[in-house]
Amino acid sequence: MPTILYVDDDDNDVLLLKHALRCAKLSYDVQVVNDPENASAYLNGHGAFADRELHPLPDLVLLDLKMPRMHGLEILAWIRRQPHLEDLTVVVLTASNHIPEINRAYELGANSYLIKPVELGELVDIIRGMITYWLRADVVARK
Amino acid sequence: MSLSWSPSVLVRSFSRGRNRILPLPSTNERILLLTQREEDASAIHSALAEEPGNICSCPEMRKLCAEIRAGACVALLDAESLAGARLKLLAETLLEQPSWSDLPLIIIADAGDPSGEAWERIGRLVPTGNVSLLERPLDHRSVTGAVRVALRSRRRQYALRDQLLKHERQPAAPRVSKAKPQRARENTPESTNETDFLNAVINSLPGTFYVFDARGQLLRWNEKLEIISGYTAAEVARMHPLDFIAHEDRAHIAERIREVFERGDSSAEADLLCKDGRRIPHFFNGKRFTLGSQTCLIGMGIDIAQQKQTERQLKELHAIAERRVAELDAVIESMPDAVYIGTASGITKCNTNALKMLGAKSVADLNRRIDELGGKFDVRWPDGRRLRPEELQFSRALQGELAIDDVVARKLDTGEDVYIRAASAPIMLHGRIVGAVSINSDLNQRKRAEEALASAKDQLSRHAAELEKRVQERTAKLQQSVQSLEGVLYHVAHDLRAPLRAMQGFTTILLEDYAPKLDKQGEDYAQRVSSAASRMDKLIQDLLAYGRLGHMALSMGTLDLNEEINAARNRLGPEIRARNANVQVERGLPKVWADSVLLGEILVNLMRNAITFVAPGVTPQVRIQAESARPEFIRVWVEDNGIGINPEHHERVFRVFERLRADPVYIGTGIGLAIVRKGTERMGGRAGVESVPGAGSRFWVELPAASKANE
Repeated sequence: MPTILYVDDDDNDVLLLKHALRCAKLSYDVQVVNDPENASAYLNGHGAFADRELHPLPDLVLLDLKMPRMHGLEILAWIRRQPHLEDLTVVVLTASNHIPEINRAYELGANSYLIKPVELGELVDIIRGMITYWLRADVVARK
Repeated sequence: MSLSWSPSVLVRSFSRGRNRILPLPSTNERILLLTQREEDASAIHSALAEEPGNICSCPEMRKLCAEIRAGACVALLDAESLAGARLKLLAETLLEQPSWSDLPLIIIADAGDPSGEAWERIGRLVPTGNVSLLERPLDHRSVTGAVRVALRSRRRQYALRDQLLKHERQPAAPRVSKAKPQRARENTPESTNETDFLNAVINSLPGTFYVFDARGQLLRWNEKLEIISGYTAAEVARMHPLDFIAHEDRAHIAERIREVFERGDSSAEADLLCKDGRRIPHFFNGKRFTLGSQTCLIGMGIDIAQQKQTERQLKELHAIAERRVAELDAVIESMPDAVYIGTASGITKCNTNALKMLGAKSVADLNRRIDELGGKFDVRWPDGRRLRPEELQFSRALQGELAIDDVVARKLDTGEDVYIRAASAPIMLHGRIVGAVSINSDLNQRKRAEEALASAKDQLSRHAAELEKRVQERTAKLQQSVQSLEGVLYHVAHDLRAPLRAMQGFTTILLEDYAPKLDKQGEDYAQRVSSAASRMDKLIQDLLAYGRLGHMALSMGTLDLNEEINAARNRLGPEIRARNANVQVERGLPKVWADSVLLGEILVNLMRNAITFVAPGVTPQVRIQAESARPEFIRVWVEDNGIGINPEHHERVFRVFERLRADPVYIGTGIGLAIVRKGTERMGGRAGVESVPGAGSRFWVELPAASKANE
């Protein structure tokens, strides 16, 4: 079962995402960290995330941008600087449709930039499309 | 008017005047008469009855000539007696006369003698020439007139004769001896007569002559008194001297007369009162002298009318001059500038302003030599160098220069510095410089104004610089705040929408997954929460988009309208399908000069607006066209079959927040049209609408046409 690391500080969004995945009839191991530091710890297998059985390296990172203490884009930049994470698919999922931020995200190596919709149905559609694209149909799409 | 008598005056005076003294019998007063007509003789006798002299009638020319030789005063004879040898005889007789004698002849002839015969005969009597013509008929007046003139002439001759004789006897006699020395040797048949001389002298006096006694009885006077006063000799003889004096002068003259009798002499001015009432100003004098046993006053009156008039004229001139001077003073005084006039030896006239400006108490302070004054006054050029006395404008004007300079003068009294414009000009009279006039204007006020202006300018430029700086600061601040505003917007976008997503998401889950546990009402409420959250999210997004319009960086380029409209239509695909709307786009639309993002927003909002507001049950029909509007602009029309807009709302629909009003027409309206307008304006265009309620709307936007220049 593919693993998705969801980096978001908003519990509601986490619940809704999980709901959306269920609705999309997709069964994935969704690992959630609620801040960027934990994200890097997870990806490095540090601390609480050392056990790769419990916390396997994700196939895809869903990254919120606006989080306490560290901005999502910083984590993105950090990921892209890690040789072993170079090919990791990182999809930005955020509420911000701020153009400079979108541009910046792509510059830093985001694979996709998705905007969190308000409508739950839309979220389901988006997630289904995203998963289909990145995890099922063509894993080498980015390369 | 001189009262001194000179011999020459005497000599010249012989030809004038007659004296009128109390009638004195004279052997010389014979009037010879020769006429062949009885009426002539009787007319002459009757005319001369009152006149002095004896008439001696001669029967014929020979007798007349004999009488002439014997001595006569005048000869009257008729022209008829002058014929032939008789005329010759008369002429020869006349030629025998002594040198002083020129016997007056009066020829009686018919009036208007057509032949002029009488005149021809008279002409033969030359060289005697002392001939006058008496025309018939002989009237009383002309006869006496002619005889009087003749008598007067003859008496003068007698006077001359007497003088000649007297000088012959007394060659050293003063005054006249030098005048006619040669005549003194001539013989005369007549005896000398002191009285005649005296009379001649009296008559030759330049004024009226009078002698009267203490009682006022006039004893002697000259003819001039009669001529001037207009009284006859007979009248004068009965008059008192004061009768000749104007009434108001009489008391004064009486006093003077008394003085003469008491002290010996006196004089006075008074008006001589003529018979006809005329008044002639006179200077009268008088001297006391004794005539026999009688004390008399002898004196003369000189006509001083001329003098009086001259005096009056002088007075008038003086008054005029004084008035002129006063006028000049008034003009000078009234001038707003400091004015002073003078010569090299000092300032003689100035106005109060000049005293004030120079700090002097009176013009006397200034009435000193200019070189001295120049040393006293501290006058400087604007550069602070002191003016030498000869550099002073006034000094230069005295040299003929028109000198005008701006200088700084220190006041004498307060030591205050005054900026003045000193203008001095020479005063020319008959081509010569007779002085100079200075007009100094106070420049202090102007100087102060200039200084104030300069400081104002200075301040202004400082303010401008400050303002510039402040603008820069503000701009920087504004940029900062724009940036921070963007930050805020970002936060709003992120933070505000997160709870909305939760609300929306969980109510959706409630409705979907927990439907069986909700009753109808609970379901309705959950539905309302969901749609309210959706609406609020939309509102937030629109507001963010609208706010971003104002400061987003544009990247303008040539855009194909058809392509852009298609893209927008695709973005709106779900909505169009949901509403089953029909959107028709004209083919071959022109290219425009715009920002792709902004144009997309505008088109989306226009189309969304067009398909949204239709009456229930109506299929939205949208047509998009374009045309060239004003030069360089493309107008894009978006036409719908919607509910239309009341004309009074045509502008309101473009305003942000208008949707928040309770008007049902606007409920649900986005901020879209405000984005349309603001976005269009940012690209240099404009937006508007034509609409009739119930008949759809035609929204339009004008965008710059893509020209070669901006491609």
